[in-house]
Amino acid sequence: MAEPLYRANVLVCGGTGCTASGSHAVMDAMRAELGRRGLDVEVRLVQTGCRGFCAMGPVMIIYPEGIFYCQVRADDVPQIVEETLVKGRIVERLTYKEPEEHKAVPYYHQIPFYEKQLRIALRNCGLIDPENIEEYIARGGYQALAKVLNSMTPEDVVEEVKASGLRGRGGAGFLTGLKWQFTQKAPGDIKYVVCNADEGDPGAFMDRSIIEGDPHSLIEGMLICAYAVGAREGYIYCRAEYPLAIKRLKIAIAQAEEYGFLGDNILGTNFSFHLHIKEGAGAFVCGEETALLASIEGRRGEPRPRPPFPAVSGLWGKPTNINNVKSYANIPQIIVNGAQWFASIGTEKSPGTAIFALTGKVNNTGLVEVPMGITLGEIIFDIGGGVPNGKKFKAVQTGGPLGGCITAEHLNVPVDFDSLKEVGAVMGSGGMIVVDEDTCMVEFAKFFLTFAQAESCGKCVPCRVGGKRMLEVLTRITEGKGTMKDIETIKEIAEGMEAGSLCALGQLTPGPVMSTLRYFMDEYIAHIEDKKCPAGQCKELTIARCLNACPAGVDVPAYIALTEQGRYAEALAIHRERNPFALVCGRVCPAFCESKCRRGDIDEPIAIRQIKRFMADQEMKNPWTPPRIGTPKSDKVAVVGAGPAGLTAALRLAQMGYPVTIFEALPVAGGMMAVGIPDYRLPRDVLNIEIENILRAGVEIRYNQRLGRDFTIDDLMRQGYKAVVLAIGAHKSRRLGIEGEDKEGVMPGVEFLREMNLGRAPDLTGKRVVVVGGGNVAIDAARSALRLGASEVNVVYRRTRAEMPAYEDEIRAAEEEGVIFHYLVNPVRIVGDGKVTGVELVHQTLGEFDRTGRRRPIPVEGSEFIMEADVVIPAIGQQTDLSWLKEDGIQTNRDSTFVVDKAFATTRAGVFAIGDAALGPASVIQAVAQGNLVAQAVDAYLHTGKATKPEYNPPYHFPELTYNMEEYVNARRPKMPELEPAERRRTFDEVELGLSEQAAREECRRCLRCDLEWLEVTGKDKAAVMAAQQKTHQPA
Amino acid sequence: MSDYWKTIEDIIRQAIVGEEDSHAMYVNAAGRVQDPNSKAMLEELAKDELGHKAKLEGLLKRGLTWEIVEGEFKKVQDLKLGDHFVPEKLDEQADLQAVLTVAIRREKESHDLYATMAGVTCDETVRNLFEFLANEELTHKRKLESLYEDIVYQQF
Repeated sequence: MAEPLYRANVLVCGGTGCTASGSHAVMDAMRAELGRRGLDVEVRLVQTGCRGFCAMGPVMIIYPEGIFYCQVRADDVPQIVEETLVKGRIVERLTYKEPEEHKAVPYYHQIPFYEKQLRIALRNCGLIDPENIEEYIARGGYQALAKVLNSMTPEDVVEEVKASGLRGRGGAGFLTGLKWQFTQKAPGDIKYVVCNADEGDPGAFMDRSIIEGDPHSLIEGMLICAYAVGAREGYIYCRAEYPLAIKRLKIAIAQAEEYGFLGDNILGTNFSFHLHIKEGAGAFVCGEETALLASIEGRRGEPRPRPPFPAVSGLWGKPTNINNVKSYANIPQIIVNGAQWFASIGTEKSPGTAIFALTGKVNNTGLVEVPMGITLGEIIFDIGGGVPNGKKFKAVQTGGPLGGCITAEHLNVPVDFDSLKEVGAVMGSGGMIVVDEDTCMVEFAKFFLTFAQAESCGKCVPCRVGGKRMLEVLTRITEGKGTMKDIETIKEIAEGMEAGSLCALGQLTPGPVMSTLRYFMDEYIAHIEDKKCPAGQCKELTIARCLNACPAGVDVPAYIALTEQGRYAEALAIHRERNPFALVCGRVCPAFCESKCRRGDIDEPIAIRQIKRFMADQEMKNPWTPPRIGTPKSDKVAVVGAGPAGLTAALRLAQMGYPVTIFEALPVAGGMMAVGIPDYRLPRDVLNIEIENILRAGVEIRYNQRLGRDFTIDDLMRQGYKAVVLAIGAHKSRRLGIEGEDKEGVMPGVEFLREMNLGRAPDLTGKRVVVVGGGNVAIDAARSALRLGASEVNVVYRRTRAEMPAYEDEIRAAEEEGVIFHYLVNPVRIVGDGKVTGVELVHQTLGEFDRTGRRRPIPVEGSEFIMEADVVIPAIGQQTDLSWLKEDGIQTNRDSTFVVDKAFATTRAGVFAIGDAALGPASVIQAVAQGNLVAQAVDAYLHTGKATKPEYNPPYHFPELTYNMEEYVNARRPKMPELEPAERRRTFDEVELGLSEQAAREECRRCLRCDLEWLEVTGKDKAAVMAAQQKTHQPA
Repeated sequence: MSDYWKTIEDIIRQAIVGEEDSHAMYVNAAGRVQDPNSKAMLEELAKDELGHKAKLEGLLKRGLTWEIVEGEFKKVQDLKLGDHFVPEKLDEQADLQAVLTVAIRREKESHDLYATMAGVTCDETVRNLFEFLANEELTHKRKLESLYEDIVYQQF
C-alpha cells in the first residue's frame, strides 16, 4: 500500500546524545498527542539518526518549514502540536538562541552550528528514518550501486575512487583507491571486504552515528568496494557496546537483501555479495586492522607484523580490503557526483570532508562534518560556539588516546591529514576534545595513558611494560613526588615503545604525553618543582581550588570559616599571613579564587571578595602591628616604589628583622592603588589604613625620590644597601602612534588617572570624552570622566566585549553609569585644529586567530567615520619608565619589564625586580604574591650571596566545620549593595556598600570546605600537614 | 639569456637594493638610540634585511626558478595594523614602539610598491614575481605587527 501524503513531518533525533537526553519520551509523547488529536493521518512522525547538535538535544525538526526545536521535553509536546502543527506558529521558547544576544533562531538552516558544515557522509543522518530503506532510496540511495553495476567496470570504479583523492578516514589517511587497487590486483578467487566499525576512542561517536543514522550508506559503499575488488563476502566489525547501531545494521541488511541490493545476482547482474556483522568485545586493539581480522577469525585480537598487508593476505589469508565506516559512507556520493566533484572539496592533498565528534569544554558539543582545510579555530569557535562560562581555550586533543593536543597558537592551522601532523597532532578517526584553562594537562595526558596502557594486548613488551611504567611516572608527578629526571625517563620510554611495538597502539600510546610535554612543559615543571597544579585539578596538590588559584595562596577556606563563626580578627590574621591588603583586595581584587570556586560548578561561586571586605571592615578600627618573625639584622634593604609589590616586600623583610627603606617617586604611597584606582572603587583613607600597618612594622618611606632623577642604584649601593628591590610599576601610557596625538585634549590614561588622584583633575564639565582601550585603566578613566562632569563618555575598543581585558564587573558598572561602548572600532586619526574635535575611527572585522586564541581585528576598507570629542584618553597599554636606565647592567625585556630569574633577581647582583615592572600590568594580588616571595629571595641572597628560587609557605589552618552544609544547599549568593547608578555617576563616593553581617556570615556557609575534604580524601593528618608547612616557613 | 629574463633579474636586483637601503638605515639608527631594547631590535631588523637580501640573491643564483614565478608561495593575511601609524623619529630617545612604527611603515611601503607593480603588469610571470615580493614584505610586516600587538596593545 502506498504511503499517505502527509502535510508535515516531525523528525525527532534518535541519535545517541538525544536518546540519552530523553528523545524517546518526546517521541512517545508526540505519538500519543498526534493520535489523541487525530493528527496522525496528516502528520508523520519519524525517529531519525543523529542530527549532530547533541548539546541541544533532544532535537526536533518540523518540515516543510524546517522549524528547529531544541532541548524538547515530553511536557512540551502538547504546545508544539497546538501551536506549530495546528496553528502554524513557532514556539519561541524552544528555538535555538544565539549565545551572545540570545536572539531566537527558529529555522534549521539559520543555525550557526550548521552554517559552515558540509554534509557528505552524514548527508542523510537526521533526515531519514534509518530503519526504512525506502527513505534512503528516496534520497538517491543505491543509485551509485546501480551506476557501477550497469555502466562501470571494476577498474573504472577503482580509477574513479583514486581520482577522487579520498584518503582513509580511519586515521592513517592512506589513499582509498590505491588500497582497493591492491586488493583488486591481488591474486585469488576469494576476497573479502571488511568494515572497521570498532570505534574505541573515548569521546568519539562518528562511526556509530553514521551506522545509527544512515546504515545503508555504509552498506552501499561496501557493495561498490566489493564489486571493484572482486569480493563476494564482507564483514562489518562493530563493537558490541553499540547495540542500536547493530540493531539498525541488522534491519538495514535484511531490507537490502529483501530489495535485492544484497545477496546473489544483485540488481539482476551476476554480482553477488553477502554481508555479515561481527560483534567485537570492546578491545581497543581490535581497531588495528590485523588484530581486527584475527578477531573476526575467532582468534585473540592481537596485531601481527605487516607485510603481508591485508590487501594481499587478510581474512583467512585471502586478499581483504579494510576501510573505516566514514570512508565507505563517502563512496556512493563519489560515484554519483563524480571524482572531480569530490576532489574539488577540501584541500588538494586532503580532498573531501572530515567528520569530528566535538566534545569536552565547548558550547556546541556534537557531530560535525566540515570541508578539509577549514581551520581548527573555525570548528571550535564558529561551529562549536567556543568555550563555555567565559573560560579560556587551552587546547584540543585530536586523534583520541593515541593522538596529540594542539594549542591556541595553532588555531589557524587547516584541518587536514598533513597540516595536523606538522603541529604534532594527528587527524585520527575524528575525536576532537576541547579543554579549557581548568584542565591540568599532566592529568589530561595521564587520563589517556591510563586508557591506552590498559588496552595493550600484551604481545609487545615495550608496549605492555612501557605504558605501565610511564603511567607510574606520571602518577608520581601528579602527586607532587616527581623529579625533573622523570621527564627524561618519559622520553626514553616513549622512544622504546615507538621503536619496539608492532602496531600503532604501542607506537602511539605516548603521543598525548609527548605532545603535552611539547606544549605544556611549564605545567610539568610546576608539578615537579613547585608541587603545584596550576589548574587545580590534581587532588594531592590542591587543598582547595580557591587558594590554589590565588597568586598569593591566601587560605580562603580558613578565613571564610572563621568569618562564619564571627571570629573576624583571627580570620584577618590568617589573611595577613599571605596578604596584608585585605581592605584593598576586598574592594578591587579580580578574585581568581571565585573563578575556580567549586560551588560555582553547582550554582554560583562563593562571594569571596565580598566576605573578605566584610571581614576586613570589621577590624578597620583596630590598628595592626605586624609581628616580627625574625631576629634583628644589620643588612639594609632598599625598595624602590611603594606600590603593592614594594610595600609587601618591605613588610616581609621588616618582619624578618631587616632595616627597610622605600624610595617613592610620588608624594603618596600605594602606587597604582593610590594613583591608578579611583576613590569610588578604593577610598584613599581605606588604603592608608593598610599602608599605616606596614609602616608600623618599621618600614620607612622616603617620598618624592625618583630613581634616575634623585638617586641611582649605584648611590643606594654606596649608601650601604645590600640589596635593592625594584618595584617601580608601569606608570607610563603607551602611545596610539597615530596622527593628531599631540593635540590639546589628548590625555594618556595612566597620567590622567594619576593627576586626578593627586588632586589635579582636569575640568571635564560638558565635554565629550573618547577613551581608547579595553583594560581596567580605560574603564577607570571612563567612569572617572563621567564623575568629572563629562557630558558623554565613549569607550572605543577594537575587539568585541567578550575579549575586553577589563574585569567584567567594572564593564557592567560603567555600562550602568552611562558609559557608551563601541566595539570593533579602531582610531586612525585624532582630528582638530590645535584642539581635539573628534576621532576618526574605522570599523573592524575579526580575522585569523592570534596566538592567545583571540581573533585578530582587521579594518573594514572604507568604513571610516568621525566620532566627535573634546578629550581623547588613550589607554591601550602601559609600560615601565626606563628612562633612568643607563649602564646599570640591568637588562630589560622588549615589553619594558625587567629580565628576572626564578628568584626575581635581575641581571645585576643584589638587584631584584617585582610587580608590574617584572610581570607587566597585573593585579594587586599578583604584586603581593611577588612581594612575599622576593623577601624570601633577598633573605637567602643576603645569607648565602646567591639568589635561589624562593618559597613562601605560612601554614594552612583547616578550621573545624561548625555548620550543617546540607542546610545551605539552596542558599544563593548575595548581591553586593551598591549606590544607584544615577547617584554614583556624579560622585567619587565608594560605589560598593558592603554586605551586612548576616548576609556575609550566611554566605560563608555556602562554602563546601574543600580543604577538609582534601584532608579526608588524601588521608592526611591536619597537625602533620601544618607542622610540615611551618618547618618550611622559617626565615633564614 | 633573453631580455625577458633580464627584466625579471633587474626587478630582483632592485629589490635587493631596497633591502640594502633598509639594512643601512637600521644599522645607522642602532648606533644612535640609547634604549638597549630599541638598539637590539634595530640590530635584529638590520640582520633580517640581510636575510631577505640573501633570499633574493638565492633566487638569482638558482636561475629564477619557475616555482616562484608561478606563484607557489604561502599568502599571509594583511592585518593593516600600521596603515595609520605616523613613523616616529629614530633619535637617541627612540623606544621600541618608535622603532616598530618605523619598521612597519617601511615594510608597508615596500609591499605597496610591489603590489602596485603587480597590479599594472600584464605579463603573468612578472606579475607573479611582484606578487611574491609583495607577499614577502607582507610577511615581514606581519611579524612586526604581531610583535607590536604583544608589546603595545596589551589592553587593546
